[in-house]
Amino acid sequence: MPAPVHDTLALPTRLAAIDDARRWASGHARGARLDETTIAEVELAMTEALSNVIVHSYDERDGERLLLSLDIDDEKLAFGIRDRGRPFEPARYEAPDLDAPAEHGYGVFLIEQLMDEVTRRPLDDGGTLVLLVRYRTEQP
Amino acid sequence: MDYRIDTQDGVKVVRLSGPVDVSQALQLRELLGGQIDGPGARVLVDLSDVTLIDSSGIGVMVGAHRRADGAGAGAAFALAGAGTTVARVFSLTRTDRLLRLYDSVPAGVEALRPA
Repeated sequence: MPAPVHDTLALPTRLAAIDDARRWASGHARGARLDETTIAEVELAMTEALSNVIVHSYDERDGERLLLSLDIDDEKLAFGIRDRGRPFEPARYEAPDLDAPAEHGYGVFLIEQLMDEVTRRPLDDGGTLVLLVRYRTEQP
Repeated sequence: MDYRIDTQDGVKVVRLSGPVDVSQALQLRELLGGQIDGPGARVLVDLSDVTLIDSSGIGVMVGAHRRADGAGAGAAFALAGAGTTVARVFSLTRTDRLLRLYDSVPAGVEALRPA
């Protein structure tokens, strides 16, 4: 059984940096023997979560950093984003109308479809932690 | 995201590769818009080598479909060759009910080529 993974990454608040985060996480996930479908779906959920934070919490303002965390054990993968931008406002979120195809508005919906748990909580330093969890269905 | 464009039987085939995400959405919108905005343009996007498509990429495809719909007679837009994970994103968002999706590039070219 591969050793549990615990790693962190400081990521610039830049959309082009999301690819670096995907490579970092998928490298660890392959080392931990997650299956390729799960890795692809986690990469997509990460992409949506990171782009939401960079676009909505930072208005794509470069020059700040997000602290990412990745924990993988024989039960689950947990991906965390700590940011100090403007908090997500759940009351302003509208789920997409799936009967009316649109050009925007699927990001949060996709995260919730692809991950088993999605939580957001305020941190003592004024920031926010977004935590995405996907349980393993295959044997490590 | 990289791309290459060639023409097969009168159909412009735009072959994308790598991840298609929010960081390239604007570039992709302009790329596809430029291909669609010709008289009677028929555009097929080859997704065979696309490793990931996010909600921004889905939005660009929906926009391109509508742009082709509004471009007049003879214009057409479709997608082909989506792998399992990419196809699942179209399915989850139900945009697969709007967009024209073909299993392979030859099937898409066959469907879109001028009579």
